[in-house]
Amino acid sequence: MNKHVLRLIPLGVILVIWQILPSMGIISKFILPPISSVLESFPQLFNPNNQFIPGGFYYNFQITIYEILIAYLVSIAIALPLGFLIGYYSLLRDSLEPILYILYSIPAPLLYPAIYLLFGLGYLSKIILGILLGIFPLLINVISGLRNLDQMYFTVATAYGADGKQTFIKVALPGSMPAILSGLRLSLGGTFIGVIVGQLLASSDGGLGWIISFTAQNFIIDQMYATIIIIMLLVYLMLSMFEFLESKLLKYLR
Amino acid sequence: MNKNKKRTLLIFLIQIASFILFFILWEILVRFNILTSLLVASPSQIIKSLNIVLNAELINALLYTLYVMLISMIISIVTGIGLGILIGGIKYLKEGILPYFILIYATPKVIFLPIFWFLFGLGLNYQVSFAVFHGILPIAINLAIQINMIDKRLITIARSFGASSYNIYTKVILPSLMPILLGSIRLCFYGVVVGIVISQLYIGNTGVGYLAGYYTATYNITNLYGLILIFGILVMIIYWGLIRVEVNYLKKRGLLKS
Repeated sequence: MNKHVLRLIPLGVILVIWQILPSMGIISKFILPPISSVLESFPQLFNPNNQFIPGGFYYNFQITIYEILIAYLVSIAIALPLGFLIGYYSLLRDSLEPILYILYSIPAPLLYPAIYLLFGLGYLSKIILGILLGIFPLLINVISGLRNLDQMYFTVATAYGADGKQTFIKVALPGSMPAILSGLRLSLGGTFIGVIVGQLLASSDGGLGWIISFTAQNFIIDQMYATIIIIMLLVYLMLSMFEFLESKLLKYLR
Repeated sequence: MNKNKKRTLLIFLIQIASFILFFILWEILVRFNILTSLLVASPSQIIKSLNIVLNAELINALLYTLYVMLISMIISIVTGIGLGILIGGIKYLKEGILPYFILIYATPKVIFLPIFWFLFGLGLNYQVSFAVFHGILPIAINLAIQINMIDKRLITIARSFGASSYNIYTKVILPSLMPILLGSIRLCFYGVVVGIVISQLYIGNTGVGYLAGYYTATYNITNLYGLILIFGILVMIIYWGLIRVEVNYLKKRGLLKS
């Protein structure tokens, strides 16, 4: 059976269950409204004069994208150079890598209250949280990507008379590209998670995560599920984009 | 002292130095009011009021959270292994369902938190179920992928030597899965801790997450940072322990070049 058809079958099964179970009263319509009423709430959700959600959907969506983008760019700007620096010098790498792994293991949610205190409930704290969660995957991936690069490449480069910059551009960068791309993907995922969790737990500026929390606590369940669907579509978009990027870039480099 | 020993010593010194530097920097930032002492507690303040920080409330919350972590880990690991082997083993399930698992793994699973709240109310069930939701995914996904990468020739050889199904399972399949399994258990632990803390932070009145939110809301800064420090160190120790178990197993199997 075609792979794509096979992938649509679970989706179909889920949609069918989603419609039947609540409609027949097996699951309370309050906990899981049938997919029909969730789909009906989409126009309401996107309505600029949404009486349920202050600011409407677009404002919150805009804020979320803005926060994620800034956090992502800043974490790339910090993690990429730092990763290359640490990964290149084996002494730095051997001493700092264990520390990074241990730091990565600190559950970020524990720091959320402290960050809220320090930076308020506005966009700054969400951006900082996104950066916190976005830096480590990229950093760790760049370092391990450089380490797994065969030393032979560097030896050959030096033998052919390449200086530091040329070695970097022609050997280190392309060689660690798969790891860098994978790190970029994980980092975007991490930033996304950091920002959304930040918005859900407490936010004065709103955002998609805030909509989920707000609609849950005001029991506007259809729009909550609608937002959940939108967020999952965003994630799917993000993953597909990286799949596409990886296929194009890696083909070019090989 | 030969070159290798010197290098190991230097590495150790750099690590200790970074550790100490971090605490000194923290202390300086608060003492000179660069980070306002109204909102941040310095390490010296935490240590001075350690008897207040380590109150019964905090210890209860820590023990309760550890208990929830244990239950969630056990459930995630057992169910994750079963789910992973099932999905990886059946070709149609692997092609059809695994992408959805990977999609969910990449999403901020916190968006489903209110649903767990509606389904399970408050307390243990809610926290455990959300944590298991976080923890089961890395194990199931990695096992499902890894089970297809087992060298089929090994199974053929075992069969040709007359191994029973049980023997093949314990002597070929399980050892091949162990490295990935140990790494996934580490990821599972991380997910479980994140799930528990977020669920406690969001709603409820038990556990470390709740206490962190409570201290924040009452501006009880010393206790807040003490709690973060203590729980953070606890988690790091457990995580470090998991890494050591994994490294020791890999070294014993000869899979780690060290």
